[in-house]
Amino acid sequence: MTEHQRNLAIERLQAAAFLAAAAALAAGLAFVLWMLVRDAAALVSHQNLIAMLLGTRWDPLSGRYGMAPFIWGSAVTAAIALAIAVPFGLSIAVWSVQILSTRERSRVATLLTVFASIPSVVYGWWGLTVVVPGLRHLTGLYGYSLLAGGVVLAVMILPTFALLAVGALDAIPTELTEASLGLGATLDQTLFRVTLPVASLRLRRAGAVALARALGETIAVQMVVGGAISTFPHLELPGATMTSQLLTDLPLMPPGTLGHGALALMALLLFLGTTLLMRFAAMGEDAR
Amino acid sequence: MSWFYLLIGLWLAVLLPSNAVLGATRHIVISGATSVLPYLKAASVAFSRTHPDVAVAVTGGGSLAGLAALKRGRTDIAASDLSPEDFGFLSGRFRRIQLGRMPVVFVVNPDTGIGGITSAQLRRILSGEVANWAQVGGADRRVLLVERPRGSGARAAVDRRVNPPVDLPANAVVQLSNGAVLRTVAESPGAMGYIEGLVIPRDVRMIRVDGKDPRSNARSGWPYYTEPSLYVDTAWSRPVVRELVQFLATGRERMRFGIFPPTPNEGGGANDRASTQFGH
Repeated sequence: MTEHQRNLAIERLQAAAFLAAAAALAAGLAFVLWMLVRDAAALVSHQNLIAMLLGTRWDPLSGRYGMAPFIWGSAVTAAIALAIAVPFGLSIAVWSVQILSTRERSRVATLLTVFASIPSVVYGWWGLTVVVPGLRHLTGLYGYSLLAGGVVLAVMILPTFALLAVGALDAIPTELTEASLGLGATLDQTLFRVTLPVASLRLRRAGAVALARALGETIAVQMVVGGAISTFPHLELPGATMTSQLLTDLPLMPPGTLGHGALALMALLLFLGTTLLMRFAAMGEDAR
Repeated sequence: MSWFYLLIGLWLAVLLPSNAVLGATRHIVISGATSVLPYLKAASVAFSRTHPDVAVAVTGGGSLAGLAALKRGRTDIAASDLSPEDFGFLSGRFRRIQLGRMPVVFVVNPDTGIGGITSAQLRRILSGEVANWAQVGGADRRVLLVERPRGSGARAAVDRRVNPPVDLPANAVVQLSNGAVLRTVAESPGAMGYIEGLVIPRDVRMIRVDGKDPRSNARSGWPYYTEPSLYVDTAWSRPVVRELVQFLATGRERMRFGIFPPTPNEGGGANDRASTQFGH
């Protein structure tokens, strides 16, 4: 066998290995999705889907699976997280890209990466010791609340969003900003009329990734959100999200029980939500 | 290329079973209640020492998950502190072997100024009717209830006697483990919760219900308790599984983990009967 033939054989082997790895990943995802659909379908064949999605009563032992309180909880905590994380994350990104030197920017990026890789249980712990007592002091209520969940999520997704936003601003050609400044625009005018509009697509994607992380986070939220199931609770009162309820009720409704279908349905909703988010984030890029 | 070999090495380390598992020819899986998990893990290690050919895997997941796994043939032994019949696991093939009793103890944050309450007061507190500790003779503090989820044995034990409303009151939060309950009660002014076992840290205060002290030796006086048990499927449980169950159900180590052996009146004889049926 010549060296060329040996190289070709190795390349074929590598191609087969890569294909096998990709196929295994796709098969794994398809299997998880199939299991969720199968379990959810078993419940949906017994119960009205719309009634479950809009229902406000969650009493799985009595066969009542109203999920609206959890959909509300997830939406509210994710919205709070995004409302806090986006302005702060964008500020960090602008400061990092426009003001700091390359060396300092690299240090900030390292710091953000470290914060982004901290396990979520640590954020939950921080939420228990700082956010919950702080909110208790501020509101005079219990501290455990949807608001606490949102604040903890905001701190969790802030580094992720800031890192992606830094990348978005970094990708803008310097010619654009230099041309703006050369035409006499101030730094602020350049930022708001050139830099941010040009980076808006990537920033939207950064926001979508951060939001998806917020929607999917479980343990940190469960530790501070309170877990009480009430219909559309006020932000300052205990509540529950889809993920926190999944974690709480999984031991009560193990695989093989009818109620497990309700948990599978919630998981499918989360999957659908994050998929739609990613499609929304990629919409502008498709047009390009 | 060194990265390539490192990757292969990591794969092998993950995929190849350890010596202990390789040496074992018989494998047993226990799954279920998290409240008895520490004891089951410790006792299983002791069992494997005397049975080097047996590898025991102990996993949590909760009582009902253990029972469901047993029903589907995915575990050899289910540990549960919930009654299978109450949750639709009617199976004449399940054999129950009681591990013992675990007291369920009510704890409060010391700032509540509460040392004891009556059953009637407890019922009103758990249903949300009492919003301030001053209403039951305590300090002027807002009540925060720290509850356990519906799949918890402690919650079932309390609900069985108190029979509170299905929906938790607005002043309740849910925590998933004894440790989380204790931490929340310790850190939250006006908080009250309940746990299984008698290991009470100093930053929370245990309270008496109707004057009964759960630390008392008179276990018949415990107002609230769980009865963690092991379940096997008699249709296919192997002799080595029965041997392990017998070992677990009679281990003196249980007390150290807050599981007090059942007296004959409480079903202690059941273990003897089980051993007879198991042919020991």
